[in-house]
Amino acid sequence: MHIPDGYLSPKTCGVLFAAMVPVWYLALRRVERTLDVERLPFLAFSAAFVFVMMMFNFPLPGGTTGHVAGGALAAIVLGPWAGVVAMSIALFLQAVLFGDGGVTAFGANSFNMAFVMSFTGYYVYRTLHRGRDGTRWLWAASFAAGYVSVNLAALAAAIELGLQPSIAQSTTGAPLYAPYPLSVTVPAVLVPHLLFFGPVEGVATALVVSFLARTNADLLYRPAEAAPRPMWAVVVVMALLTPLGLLASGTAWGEWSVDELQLITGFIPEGMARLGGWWDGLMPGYTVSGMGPSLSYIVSAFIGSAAVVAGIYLVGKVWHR
Amino acid sequence: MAQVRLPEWLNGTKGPARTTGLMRPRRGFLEKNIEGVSFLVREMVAPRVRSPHKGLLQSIDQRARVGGTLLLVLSGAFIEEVGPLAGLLVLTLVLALLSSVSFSALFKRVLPALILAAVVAVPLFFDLIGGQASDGGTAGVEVLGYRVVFTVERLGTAGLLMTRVAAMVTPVAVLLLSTRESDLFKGLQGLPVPSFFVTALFMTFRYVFVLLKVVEDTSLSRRARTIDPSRLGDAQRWFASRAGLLVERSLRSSREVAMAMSSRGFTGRIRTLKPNGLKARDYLWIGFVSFVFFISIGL
Repeated sequence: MHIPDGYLSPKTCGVLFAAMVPVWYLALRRVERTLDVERLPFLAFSAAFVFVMMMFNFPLPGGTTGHVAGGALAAIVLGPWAGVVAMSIALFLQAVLFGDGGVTAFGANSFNMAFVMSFTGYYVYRTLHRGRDGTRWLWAASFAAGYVSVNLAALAAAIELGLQPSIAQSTTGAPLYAPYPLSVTVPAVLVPHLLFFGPVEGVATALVVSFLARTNADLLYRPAEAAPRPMWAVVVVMALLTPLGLLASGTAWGEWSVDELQLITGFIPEGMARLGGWWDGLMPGYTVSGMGPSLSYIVSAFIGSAAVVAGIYLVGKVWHR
Repeated sequence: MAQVRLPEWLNGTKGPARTTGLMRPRRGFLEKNIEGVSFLVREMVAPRVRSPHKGLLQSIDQRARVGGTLLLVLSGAFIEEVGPLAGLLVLTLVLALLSSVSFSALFKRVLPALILAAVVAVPLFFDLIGGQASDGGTAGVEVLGYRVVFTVERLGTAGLLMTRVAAMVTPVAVLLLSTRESDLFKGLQGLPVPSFFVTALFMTFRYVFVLLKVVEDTSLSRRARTIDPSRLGDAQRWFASRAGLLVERSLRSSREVAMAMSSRGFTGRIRTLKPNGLKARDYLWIGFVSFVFFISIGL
């Protein structure tokens, strides 16, 4: 899942690096606030732990092995913010000193493995484990955290790679960076993760968390602040899954335009003929002017989500008055 | 004085004497994996410990060296044609030659990235991907039931990807093979990277070896008392317990280090020595790589 140099365009690298800057800032501030003078060796040892965990393979049936990314595990043990910092340090070290993952793709790799993995892993774990005791629930929650987080991180990497042909092309239309479109990268990256790497990550996370809970439960991170809000995790996960829509072709059933209905049924109902198409919306057909179709689809999905959240927030404020 | 009674098998004269070598437990994949990872990490660090002292890059200030390498990598990202990318690669190889970097060590470092790029590029030639078939090639060779088409466009795309990867990975490899870790971290401190982050990075680098040693030791102790290492459940439980041990050891060690740092007057503020000013040759180097970078944006 470490994207090397040469696969992502400078635009993509720049955008994802810029997206990570506030995350790193907030993460360092949070870690600084909670750890004070201990933060430096704690972070260094946490990052070293993540680094070592990422290097070792995990035994699987049939004599095969799998490699653990460790984002969910780091977040469950250290908390999501410290997990982001530890994973970022480990990824930087891997990129700069060991050539594992690109230097220019550091922002993208951090976004996928430090940010997406830590937060989704942590909140899936918290949501499933909250208020439920027992080793089975702990096992299930940590397995789900590992499984879901590694698949979402893989999906993010697949989307970044799959957007390249539409973002950067030569004058002849040939791709300049990663050459395959989303319809190829998403299944190519996601299927092995859903079937193989996801279960490996889940089992490894569950085994380590169960062991820690059994032997020294104090080592598992417990948030001091308010209880987590699982709904936010669901919203974030749903938003991250939006680009899956790019794999679909044609119009959704029953959402035909007037012209499509004419083709399918041979006539247009009178009311539809009168009212259909009088308002095309702010972004008709999920397109944003100046952007390619794939990118504008994702951007419009995020704008829509943000508008819904803002609307609900405002209604909530008015309601409370 | 009491007579020492030797066991019968020691008194026997037939056959070879029993040694611990005959009773050596088999190594499971976990032990092999741990040994392999430790070897890999040490092997990757070793060339820099032995890195040549004299050479072009070694004579340049660490900050300029690291910054310049980053600009070379960025140049590779901006170039859009195979020719200029190959030129950048040749330039990097010349730098490696002038810095006394071993070409075999350089090749070993770049090879994994090239293999990955080749694996990614191969499906371009198979008619599996509808989006890539815009070149209209109808002729092709049948391989395992799939049509393999070689066209100028497909070869160009694959060549561009592989050359770009080589051109972007090689400068970093040359930097790593010509620079010691301490110089590398000093170089990073000169860049707009928070000193807190660089110090944490340096400490992490050291602690990786501490934790690897812990894993190696526990692996050795397991090997010493295991006869049959092949059972999957045991291996998985051992993996989980070692990972748990690493968490515990990491947190305990971090507390000990923090106390040691506090007792030596560390208050959370990182103070570093003021670096020396850049020399004429450093400015020359920065000017040269900046020129390469700006030229590359238009290529």
